[in-house]
Amino acid sequence: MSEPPDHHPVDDFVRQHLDREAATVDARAVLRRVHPVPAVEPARTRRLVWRWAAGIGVGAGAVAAACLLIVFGGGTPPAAHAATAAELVRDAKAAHSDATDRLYDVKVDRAAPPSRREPVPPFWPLLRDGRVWTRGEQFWFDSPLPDGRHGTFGRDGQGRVWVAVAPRLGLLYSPDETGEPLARVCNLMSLRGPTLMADMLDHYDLSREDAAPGEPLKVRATFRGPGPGEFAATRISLELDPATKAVRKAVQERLAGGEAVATFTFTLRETGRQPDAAYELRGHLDANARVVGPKDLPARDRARGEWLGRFPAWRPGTR
Amino acid sequence: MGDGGPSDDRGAWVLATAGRAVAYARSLLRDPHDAEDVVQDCYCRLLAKADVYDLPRDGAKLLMRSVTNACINRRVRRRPVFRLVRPVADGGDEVPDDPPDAAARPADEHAAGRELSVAVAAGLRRLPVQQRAALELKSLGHSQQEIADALGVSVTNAGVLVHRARVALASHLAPFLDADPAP
Repeated sequence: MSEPPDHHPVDDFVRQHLDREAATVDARAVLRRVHPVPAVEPARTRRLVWRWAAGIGVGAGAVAAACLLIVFGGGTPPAAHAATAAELVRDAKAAHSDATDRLYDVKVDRAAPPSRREPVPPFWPLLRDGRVWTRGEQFWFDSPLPDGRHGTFGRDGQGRVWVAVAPRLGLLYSPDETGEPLARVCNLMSLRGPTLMADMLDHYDLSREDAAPGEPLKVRATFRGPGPGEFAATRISLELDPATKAVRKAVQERLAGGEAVATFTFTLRETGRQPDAAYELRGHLDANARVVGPKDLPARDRARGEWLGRFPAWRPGTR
Repeated sequence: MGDGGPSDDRGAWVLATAGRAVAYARSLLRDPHDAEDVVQDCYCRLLAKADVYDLPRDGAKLLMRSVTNACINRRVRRRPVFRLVRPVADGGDEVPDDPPDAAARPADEHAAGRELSVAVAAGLRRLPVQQRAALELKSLGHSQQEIADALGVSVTNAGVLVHRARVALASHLAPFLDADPAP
Protein backbone atom coordinates (compact mmCIF):
# COMPACT_ATOMS: atom_id res chain seq x y z
CA MET A 1 0.00 0.00 0.00
CA SER A 2 1.23 3.49 -0.79
CA GLU A 3 1.76 5.96 1.99
CA PRO A 4 -1.47 7.64 3.03
CA PRO A 5 -1.82 11.34 2.40
CA ASP A 6 0.01 13.48 4.88
CA HIS A 7 -3.12 15.06 6.18
CA HIS A 8 -6.71 14.00 6.66
CA PRO A 9 -9.59 15.94 8.21
CA VAL A 10 -9.89 13.58 11.18
CA ASP A 11 -6.28 14.26 12.14
CA ASP A 12 -7.27 17.73 13.32
CA PHE A 13 -10.11 16.33 15.39
CA VAL A 14 -7.80 13.83 17.01
CA ARG A 15 -5.16 16.41 17.76
CA GLN A 16 -7.70 18.79 19.25
CA HIS A 17 -9.06 15.97 21.35
CA LEU A 18 -5.58 15.10 22.64
CA ASP A 19 -4.87 18.75 23.35
CA ARG A 20 -8.05 19.01 25.40
CA GLU A 21 -7.11 15.91 27.33
CA ALA A 22 -3.57 17.18 27.83
CA ALA A 23 -4.95 20.36 29.34
CA THR A 24 -6.55 18.30 32.10
CA VAL A 25 -3.24 16.73 33.14
CA ASP A 26 -1.46 18.07 36.20
CA ALA A 27 2.07 18.12 34.83
CA ARG A 28 3.51 19.03 38.21
CA ALA A 29 1.94 15.94 39.70
CA VAL A 30 3.61 13.90 36.98
CA LEU A 31 6.91 15.51 37.82
CA ARG A 32 6.41 14.76 41.49
CA ARG A 33 5.76 11.15 40.60
CA VAL A 34 9.25 10.80 39.26
CA HIS A 35 9.81 8.80 42.29
CA PRO A 36 11.71 9.27 45.54
CA VAL A 37 15.06 7.56 45.81
CA PRO A 38 14.98 4.34 47.83
CA ALA A 39 17.44 5.63 50.39
CA VAL A 40 15.69 4.08 53.36
CA GLU A 41 15.39 0.57 51.99
CA PRO A 42 18.04 -1.76 53.27
CA ALA A 43 21.22 -2.61 51.45
CA ARG A 44 21.17 0.03 48.77
CA THR A 45 23.20 3.19 48.71
CA ARG A 46 23.04 6.17 46.42
CA ARG A 47 26.50 5.29 45.22
CA LEU A 48 25.11 1.97 44.07
CA VAL A 49 22.20 3.65 42.42
CA TRP A 50 24.50 5.88 40.46
CA ARG A 51 26.57 2.92 39.42
CA TRP A 52 23.46 1.20 38.13
CA ALA A 53 22.42 4.31 36.30
CA ALA A 54 25.78 4.36 34.63
CA GLY A 55 24.55 1.45 32.63
CA ILE A 56 25.94 -1.72 34.15
CA GLY A 57 23.11 -4.19 34.23
CA VAL A 58 20.78 -1.30 34.57
CA GLY A 59 17.15 -2.09 35.28
CA ALA A 60 14.09 -0.01 35.56
CA GLY A 61 14.36 0.15 39.34
CA ALA A 62 17.76 1.68 39.14
CA VAL A 63 16.55 3.94 36.40
CA ALA A 64 13.67 5.10 38.53
CA ALA A 65 16.01 5.79 41.39
CA ALA A 66 18.52 7.50 39.20
CA CYS A 67 16.04 9.79 37.56
CA LEU A 68 15.02 11.07 40.94
CA LEU A 69 18.58 12.05 41.57
CA ILE A 70 18.79 13.64 38.18
CA VAL A 71 15.64 15.65 38.45
CA PHE A 72 15.45 16.35 42.13
CA GLY A 73 19.08 16.40 43.08
CA GLY A 74 18.44 14.05 45.96
CA GLY A 75 15.90 16.24 47.68
CA THR A 76 13.71 14.98 50.45
CA PRO A 77 10.59 13.13 49.39
CA PRO A 78 7.26 14.90 49.71
CA ALA A 79 5.48 14.44 53.01
CA ALA A 80 3.40 11.30 52.92
CA HIS A 81 1.39 11.83 56.05
CA ALA A 82 -1.31 13.75 54.17
CA ALA A 83 -1.79 11.12 51.47
CA THR A 84 -4.93 9.06 51.39
CA ALA A 85 -4.83 5.29 51.64
CA ALA A 86 -5.55 4.98 47.93
CA GLU A 87 -2.76 7.39 47.09
CA LEU A 88 -0.35 5.39 49.19
CA VAL A 89 -1.39 2.18 47.48
CA ARG A 90 -0.91 3.81 44.09
CA ASP A 91 2.53 4.96 45.19
CA ALA A 92 3.32 1.45 46.40
CA LYS A 93 2.17 0.05 43.08
CA ALA A 94 4.52 2.41 41.30
CA ALA A 95 7.37 1.52 43.65
CA HIS A 96 6.86 -2.17 42.91
CA SER A 97 6.50 -1.71 39.19
CA ASP A 98 10.15 -1.07 38.59
CA ALA A 99 13.00 -3.56 38.38
CA THR A 100 14.09 -3.34 41.99
CA ASP A 101 14.85 -6.72 43.54
CA ARG A 102 13.48 -7.20 47.03
CA LEU A 103 13.84 -10.19 49.32
CA TYR A 104 11.00 -10.99 51.70
CA ASP A 105 10.74 -13.51 54.48
CA VAL A 106 7.51 -15.41 54.05
CA LYS A 107 5.70 -16.72 57.09
CA VAL A 108 2.57 -18.83 56.74
CA ASP A 109 0.28 -19.22 59.72
CA ARG A 110 -2.06 -22.03 58.90
CA ALA A 111 -4.13 -21.64 61.99
CA ALA A 112 -7.47 -22.43 60.46
CA PRO A 113 -7.69 -25.67 58.49
CA PRO A 114 -10.04 -25.99 55.58
CA SER A 115 -13.40 -27.61 56.13
CA ARG A 116 -13.10 -31.15 57.42
CA ARG A 117 -15.76 -32.09 54.92
CA GLU A 118 -13.24 -31.50 52.19
CA PRO A 119 -10.09 -33.49 51.64
CA VAL A 120 -6.98 -31.45 52.24
CA PRO A 121 -6.04 -30.10 48.82
CA PRO A 122 -2.95 -31.81 47.44
CA PHE A 123 -1.11 -28.53 47.09
CA TRP A 124 -1.56 -27.43 50.67
CA PRO A 125 1.92 -28.65 51.72
CA LEU A 126 3.32 -25.93 49.49
CA LEU A 127 2.02 -23.30 51.87
CA ARG A 128 5.08 -23.05 54.05
CA ASP A 129 7.63 -20.58 55.30
CA GLY A 130 10.38 -19.50 52.97
CA ARG A 131 11.90 -16.54 51.23
CA VAL A 132 10.84 -14.87 48.06
CA TRP A 133 12.72 -12.50 45.79
CA THR A 134 10.48 -10.16 43.86
CA ARG A 135 10.98 -7.87 40.90
CA GLY A 136 7.71 -6.38 39.76
CA GLU A 137 5.54 -9.30 38.71
CA GLN A 138 8.47 -11.70 38.72
CA PHE A 139 9.43 -13.72 41.75
CA TRP A 140 11.25 -16.78 42.87
CA PHE A 141 10.50 -18.58 46.09
CA ASP A 142 12.69 -20.94 48.02
CA SER A 143 11.92 -23.07 51.03
CA PRO A 144 14.29 -25.65 52.54
CA LEU A 145 12.76 -29.10 52.86
CA PRO A 146 13.38 -31.68 55.59
CA ASP A 147 15.30 -33.93 53.21
CA GLY A 148 17.86 -31.21 52.60
CA ARG A 149 16.53 -30.30 49.21
CA HIS A 150 14.66 -27.13 48.39
CA GLY A 151 11.24 -26.27 47.11
CA THR A 152 11.99 -23.67 44.47
CA PHE A 153 9.55 -22.12 42.07
CA GLY A 154 8.91 -18.76 40.47
CA ARG A 155 7.40 -16.63 37.77
CA ASP A 156 9.50 -15.28 34.93
CA GLY A 157 9.29 -12.11 32.90
CA GLN A 158 7.01 -13.77 30.36
CA GLY A 159 4.45 -14.63 33.00
CA ARG A 160 5.31 -18.32 33.10
CA VAL A 161 5.23 -20.11 36.40
CA TRP A 162 8.00 -22.63 36.82
CA VAL A 163 9.11 -25.28 39.29
CA ALA A 164 12.67 -26.49 39.67
CA VAL A 165 12.02 -30.13 40.53
CA ALA A 166 15.68 -31.13 40.35
CA PRO A 167 18.82 -29.74 38.74
CA ARG A 168 17.96 -31.74 35.63
CA LEU A 169 14.19 -31.38 35.57
CA GLY A 170 11.89 -28.36 35.53
CA LEU A 171 8.18 -27.77 35.07
CA LEU A 172 6.78 -24.88 33.11
CA TYR A 173 3.26 -23.44 33.13
CA SER A 174 2.36 -21.07 30.34
CA PRO A 175 0.68 -17.72 31.04
CA ASP A 176 -2.67 -19.01 29.76
CA GLU A 177 -2.77 -21.81 32.33
CA THR A 178 -4.27 -19.45 34.86
CA GLY A 179 -6.50 -22.05 36.45
CA GLU A 180 -3.85 -24.68 36.96
CA PRO A 181 -3.84 -25.30 40.71
CA LEU A 182 -0.12 -25.57 41.15
CA ALA A 183 0.48 -22.35 39.24
CA ARG A 184 -2.13 -20.61 41.38
CA VAL A 185 -0.58 -21.82 44.61
CA CYS A 186 2.89 -20.82 43.45
CA ASN A 187 1.58 -17.33 42.73
CA LEU A 188 -0.07 -17.30 46.11
CA MET A 189 3.30 -17.70 47.81
CA SER A 190 4.68 -14.61 46.13
CA LEU A 191 4.30 -10.91 46.67
CA ARG A 192 3.42 -9.60 43.23
CA GLY A 193 3.25 -5.96 44.11
CA PRO A 194 1.64 -4.44 41.00
CA THR A 195 -1.13 -7.06 40.89
CA LEU A 196 -1.73 -6.89 44.62
CA MET A 197 -1.97 -3.09 44.63
CA ALA A 198 -4.20 -3.04 41.56
CA ASP A 199 -6.57 -5.47 43.20
CA MET A 200 -6.53 -3.45 46.40
CA LEU A 201 -7.48 -0.32 44.49
CA ASP A 202 -10.23 -2.06 42.56
CA HIS A 203 -11.81 -4.41 45.06
CA TYR A 204 -11.00 -3.35 48.61
CA ASP A 205 -12.09 -0.70 51.06
CA LEU A 206 -8.95 1.12 52.07
CA SER A 207 -8.06 2.96 55.24
CA ARG A 208 -4.86 4.11 56.82
CA GLU A 209 -3.48 4.53 60.27
CA ASP A 210 -1.64 7.52 61.59
CA ALA A 211 2.11 7.14 61.62
CA ALA A 212 4.80 9.21 63.26
CA PRO A 213 7.38 10.80 60.98
CA GLY A 214 9.86 8.20 59.84
CA GLU A 215 7.62 5.33 60.84
CA PRO A 216 6.15 2.95 58.24
CA LEU A 217 2.94 4.11 56.64
CA LYS A 218 0.14 1.67 57.36
CA VAL A 219 -2.72 0.84 55.03
CA ARG A 220 -5.49 -1.62 55.73
CA ALA A 221 -7.70 -3.15 53.09
CA THR A 222 -10.92 -5.12 53.48
CA PHE A 223 -12.32 -7.04 50.56
CA ARG A 224 -15.66 -5.59 49.56
CA GLY A 225 -16.92 -8.23 47.18
CA PRO A 226 -18.59 -9.31 45.07
CA GLY A 227 -17.45 -12.40 46.92
CA PRO A 228 -13.95 -13.70 47.34
CA GLY A 229 -12.81 -16.29 44.89
CA GLU A 230 -10.43 -19.08 45.67
CA PHE A 231 -7.50 -17.89 47.74
CA ALA A 232 -8.86 -14.35 47.91
CA ALA A 233 -7.43 -12.23 50.68
CA THR A 234 -10.22 -10.93 52.86
CA ARG A 235 -7.96 -8.53 54.70
CA ILE A 236 -4.63 -7.05 53.77
CA SER A 237 -2.44 -4.77 55.79
CA LEU A 238 0.60 -3.04 54.38
CA GLU A 239 3.45 -1.23 56.02
CA LEU A 240 5.13 1.03 53.51
CA ASP A 241 8.52 2.64 53.61
CA PRO A 242 7.79 6.33 54.18
CA ALA A 243 10.37 7.41 51.61
CA THR A 244 10.04 4.86 48.83
CA LYS A 245 6.51 3.54 49.45
CA ALA A 246 7.86 0.03 48.95
CA VAL A 247 6.25 -2.67 51.04
CA ARG A 248 8.16 -3.35 54.22
CA LYS A 249 5.57 -5.75 55.52
CA ALA A 250 2.41 -7.23 54.05
CA VAL A 251 -0.06 -9.41 55.89
CA GLN A 252 -2.75 -11.19 53.90
CA GLU A 253 -5.54 -13.23 55.42
CA ARG A 254 -6.79 -15.61 52.79
CA LEU A 255 -9.81 -17.78 52.21
CA ALA A 256 -10.44 -20.90 50.22
CA GLY A 257 -13.88 -22.35 49.75
CA GLY A 258 -15.25 -19.59 51.92
CA GLU A 259 -13.14 -20.58 54.92
CA ALA A 260 -10.03 -19.00 56.36
CA VAL A 261 -6.95 -20.89 55.28
CA ALA A 262 -3.89 -19.05 56.38
CA THR A 263 -2.30 -15.72 57.09
CA PHE A 264 0.69 -14.88 54.93
CA THR A 265 3.21 -12.40 56.25
CA PHE A 266 5.86 -10.94 53.97
CA THR A 267 8.62 -9.01 55.70
CA LEU A 268 11.23 -7.10 53.73
CA ARG A 269 14.64 -8.50 54.46
CA GLU A 270 16.78 -6.68 51.97
CA THR A 271 16.84 -4.78 48.73
CA GLY A 272 19.56 -6.09 46.51
CA ARG A 273 20.37 -7.24 43.07
CA GLN A 274 19.43 -10.56 41.53
CA PRO A 275 20.59 -11.74 38.12
CA ASP A 276 17.81 -11.89 35.56
CA ALA A 277 18.28 -15.66 35.36
CA ALA A 278 17.25 -16.02 39.00
CA TYR A 279 13.67 -15.37 37.94
CA GLU A 280 13.84 -17.89 35.14
CA LEU A 281 13.67 -21.65 35.27
CA ARG A 282 16.96 -22.01 33.43
CA GLY A 283 18.68 -20.17 36.24
CA HIS A 284 17.92 -23.06 38.57
CA LEU A 285 18.68 -25.97 36.27
CA ASP A 286 21.70 -27.61 34.74
CA ALA A 287 22.44 -26.67 31.17
CA ASN A 288 21.17 -29.97 29.79
CA ALA A 289 18.12 -30.21 32.02
CA ARG A 290 14.75 -31.36 30.74
CA VAL A 291 11.90 -28.88 30.90
CA VAL A 292 8.37 -30.27 30.80
CA GLY A 293 5.67 -27.86 29.70
CA PRO A 294 2.03 -27.90 28.66
CA LYS A 295 2.76 -29.95 25.56
CA ASP A 296 3.46 -33.01 27.69
CA LEU A 297 0.82 -32.90 30.39
CA PRO A 298 1.13 -36.55 31.55
CA ALA A 299 4.85 -36.19 32.13
CA ARG A 300 4.39 -32.85 33.81
CA ASP A 301 1.69 -34.19 36.11
CA ARG A 302 3.89 -37.14 37.08
CA ALA A 303 6.83 -34.90 37.86
CA ARG A 304 4.57 -32.55 39.79
CA GLY A 305 3.35 -35.44 41.95
CA GLU A 306 6.89 -36.51 42.65
CA TRP A 307 7.87 -32.99 43.60
CA LEU A 308 4.89 -32.45 45.88
CA GLY A 309 5.70 -35.71 47.63
CA ARG A 310 8.82 -34.12 49.06
CA PHE A 311 6.86 -31.60 51.06
CA PRO A 312 5.85 -32.62 54.56
CA ALA A 313 2.15 -33.41 54.78
CA TRP A 314 0.14 -30.63 56.28
CA ARG A 315 -1.58 -31.39 59.51
CA PRO A 316 -4.01 -28.81 60.81
CA GLY A 317 -2.47 -26.67 63.49
CA THR A 318 1.11 -27.44 62.53
CA ARG A 319 3.57 -25.15 60.85
CA MET B 1 11.71 21.56 44.76
CA GLY B 2 9.15 21.26 47.42
CA ASP B 3 6.22 21.64 45.07
CA GLY B 4 7.59 19.35 42.47
CA GLY B 5 8.48 22.19 40.15
CA PRO B 6 11.40 22.07 37.79
CA SER B 7 14.81 22.32 39.33
CA ASP B 8 16.54 22.38 35.97
CA ASP B 9 16.00 22.01 32.26
CA ARG B 10 15.02 18.39 32.61
CA GLY B 11 12.27 19.22 35.04
CA ALA B 12 11.07 21.89 32.65
CA TRP B 13 11.10 19.35 29.86
CA VAL B 14 8.94 17.00 31.91
CA LEU B 15 6.48 19.80 32.62
CA ALA B 16 6.33 20.74 28.95
CA THR B 17 5.68 17.23 27.68
CA ALA B 18 3.75 15.53 30.47
CA GLY B 19 0.28 16.66 29.42
CA ARG B 20 0.44 15.23 25.96
CA ALA B 21 2.20 12.05 27.08
CA VAL B 22 -0.37 11.30 29.77
CA ALA B 23 -3.27 12.14 27.47
CA TYR B 24 -1.88 9.77 24.87
CA ALA B 25 -1.27 7.01 27.41
CA ARG B 26 -4.78 7.43 28.79
CA SER B 27 -6.17 7.03 25.33
CA LEU B 28 -4.26 3.82 24.76
CA LEU B 29 -4.78 2.30 28.18
CA ARG B 30 -8.08 3.84 29.26
CA ASP B 31 -6.96 3.59 32.86
CA PRO B 32 -5.66 6.89 34.20
CA HIS B 33 -3.63 5.27 36.95
CA ASP B 34 -1.97 2.82 34.62
CA ALA B 35 -1.35 5.66 32.19
CA GLU B 36 0.42 7.72 34.82
CA ASP B 37 2.46 4.70 35.87
CA VAL B 38 3.56 4.10 32.31
CA VAL B 39 4.45 7.71 31.66
CA GLN B 40 6.36 7.92 34.91
CA ASP B 41 8.37 4.85 34.01
CA CYS B 42 9.09 6.18 30.54
CA TYR B 43 10.29 9.50 31.91
CA CYS B 44 12.57 7.71 34.30
CA ARG B 45 14.10 5.63 31.54
CA LEU B 46 14.72 8.65 29.35
CA LEU B 47 16.01 10.86 32.13
CA ALA B 48 18.45 8.19 33.19
CA LYS B 49 19.97 8.49 29.73
CA ALA B 50 19.70 12.23 29.53
CA ASP B 51 23.40 12.50 28.92
CA VAL B 52 23.02 10.32 25.83
CA TYR B 53 19.90 11.90 24.35
CA ASP B 54 19.28 15.45 23.28
CA LEU B 55 16.03 15.76 25.17
CA PRO B 56 15.11 19.29 24.13
CA ARG B 57 15.43 18.23 20.49
CA ASP B 58 14.42 14.55 20.43
CA GLY B 59 12.87 13.99 23.83
CA ALA B 60 9.22 14.38 22.86
CA LYS B 61 9.45 11.84 20.07
CA LEU B 62 11.48 9.44 22.16
CA LEU B 63 8.96 9.79 24.94
CA MET B 64 5.98 9.08 22.72
CA ARG B 65 7.73 6.07 21.24
CA SER B 66 8.50 4.78 24.70
CA VAL B 67 4.94 5.40 25.89
CA THR B 68 3.55 3.63 22.83
CA ASN B 69 5.66 0.58 23.47
CA ALA B 70 4.88 0.46 27.15
CA CYS B 71 1.14 0.89 26.66
CA ILE B 72 0.88 -1.77 23.98
CA ASN B 73 2.99 -4.10 26.05
CA ARG B 74 0.71 -3.58 28.98
CA ARG B 75 -2.57 -3.94 27.14
CA VAL B 76 -1.84 -6.44 24.41
CA ARG B 77 1.26 -8.45 24.98
CA ARG B 78 0.98 -9.07 28.69
CA ARG B 79 -1.81 -11.02 30.29
CA PRO B 80 -1.86 -11.50 34.03
CA VAL B 81 -1.43 -15.09 35.13
CA PHE B 82 -3.06 -14.63 38.45
CA ARG B 83 -5.13 -12.02 40.12
CA LEU B 84 -6.57 -12.25 43.56
CA VAL B 85 -9.88 -11.35 42.04
CA ARG B 86 -10.60 -12.57 38.57
CA PRO B 87 -12.03 -9.98 36.21
CA VAL B 88 -15.51 -10.75 34.97
CA ALA B 89 -14.31 -10.79 31.42
CA ASP B 90 -11.09 -10.03 29.67
CA GLY B 91 -12.39 -7.91 26.86
CA GLY B 92 -8.99 -6.67 25.81
CA ASP B 93 -8.73 -3.27 24.34
CA GLU B 94 -10.70 -3.71 21.18
CA VAL B 95 -14.20 -3.83 22.53
CA PRO B 96 -16.13 -2.35 19.65
CA ASP B 97 -19.19 -1.24 21.51
CA ASP B 98 -17.62 -0.12 24.72
CA PRO B 99 -19.84 2.69 25.93
CA PRO B 100 -18.30 5.98 26.93
CA ASP B 101 -17.99 6.58 30.60
CA ALA B 102 -21.10 8.61 31.20
CA ALA B 103 -20.05 9.49 34.72
CA ALA B 104 -16.99 11.21 33.36
CA ARG B 105 -18.96 13.49 31.09
CA PRO B 106 -19.21 17.07 32.19
CA ALA B 107 -22.56 18.80 32.31
CA ASP B 108 -21.88 20.84 29.22
CA GLU B 109 -21.04 17.93 26.99
CA HIS B 110 -23.68 18.94 24.50
CA ALA B 111 -21.85 22.10 23.75
CA ALA B 112 -20.59 21.74 20.25
CA GLY B 113 -16.90 21.48 20.98
CA ARG B 114 -17.39 19.12 23.84
CA GLU B 115 -19.78 17.00 21.86
CA LEU B 116 -17.22 16.64 19.16
CA SER B 117 -14.55 15.74 21.67
CA VAL B 118 -16.79 13.10 23.17
CA ALA B 119 -17.50 11.72 19.72
CA VAL B 120 -13.80 11.66 18.88
CA ALA B 121 -13.03 9.88 22.14
CA ALA B 122 -15.76 7.33 21.47
CA GLY B 123 -14.53 6.81 17.93
CA LEU B 124 -10.97 6.33 19.07
CA ARG B 125 -12.08 3.80 21.64
CA ARG B 126 -13.58 1.70 18.88
CA LEU B 127 -10.24 1.40 17.15
CA PRO B 128 -7.81 -1.42 17.83
CA VAL B 129 -5.03 -0.10 19.98
CA GLN B 130 -2.41 -0.14 17.21
CA GLN B 131 -4.64 1.85 14.86
CA ARG B 132 -5.45 4.27 17.66
CA ALA B 133 -1.78 4.76 18.44
CA ALA B 134 -0.88 5.18 14.78
CA LEU B 135 -3.57 7.79 14.17
CA GLU B 136 -2.81 9.73 17.33
CA LEU B 137 0.89 9.81 16.58
CA LYS B 138 0.11 10.92 13.04
CA SER B 139 -2.11 13.68 14.30
CA LEU B 140 0.69 14.82 16.59
CA GLY B 141 3.01 15.22 13.64
CA HIS B 142 5.01 12.02 13.73
CA SER B 143 6.30 10.72 10.44
CA GLN B 144 5.40 7.35 8.99
CA GLN B 145 8.85 6.07 9.88
CA GLU B 146 8.52 7.26 13.47
CA ILE B 147 5.13 5.60 13.77
CA ALA B 148 6.57 2.39 12.39
CA ASP B 149 9.44 2.55 14.87
CA ALA B 150 7.11 3.22 17.77
CA LEU B 151 4.79 0.35 16.91
CA GLY B 152 7.45 -2.08 15.83
CA VAL B 153 5.93 -2.55 12.38
CA SER B 154 7.09 -1.85 8.87
CA VAL B 155 6.61 1.56 7.35
CA THR B 156 4.05 0.05 4.98
CA ASN B 157 2.09 -1.44 7.85
CA ALA B 158 2.22 1.85 9.70
CA GLY B 159 0.60 3.43 6.66
CA VAL B 160 -2.07 0.75 6.63
CA LEU B 161 -2.80 1.34 10.30
CA VAL B 162 -3.11 5.09 9.81
CA HIS B 163 -5.31 4.64 6.75
CA ARG B 164 -7.68 2.19 8.42
CA ALA B 165 -7.91 4.30 11.54
CA ARG B 166 -8.74 7.39 9.50
CA VAL B 167 -11.42 5.59 7.53
CA ALA B 168 -13.02 4.11 10.64
CA LEU B 169 -12.92 7.35 12.59
CA ALA B 170 -14.15 9.38 9.65
CA SER B 171 -17.12 7.05 9.40
CA HIS B 172 -17.84 7.53 13.08
CA LEU B 173 -17.50 11.30 12.78
CA ALA B 174 -19.37 11.62 9.51
CA PRO B 175 -21.95 14.07 10.88
CA PHE B 176 -19.22 16.40 12.06
CA LEU B 177 -17.16 16.06 8.93
CA ASP B 178 -20.17 16.79 6.74
CA ALA B 179 -21.17 19.78 8.81
CA ASP B 180 -17.81 21.27 9.42
CA PRO B 181 -14.98 20.23 7.17
CA ALA B 182 -11.75 20.36 8.99
CA PRO B 183 -9.78 23.55 8.54
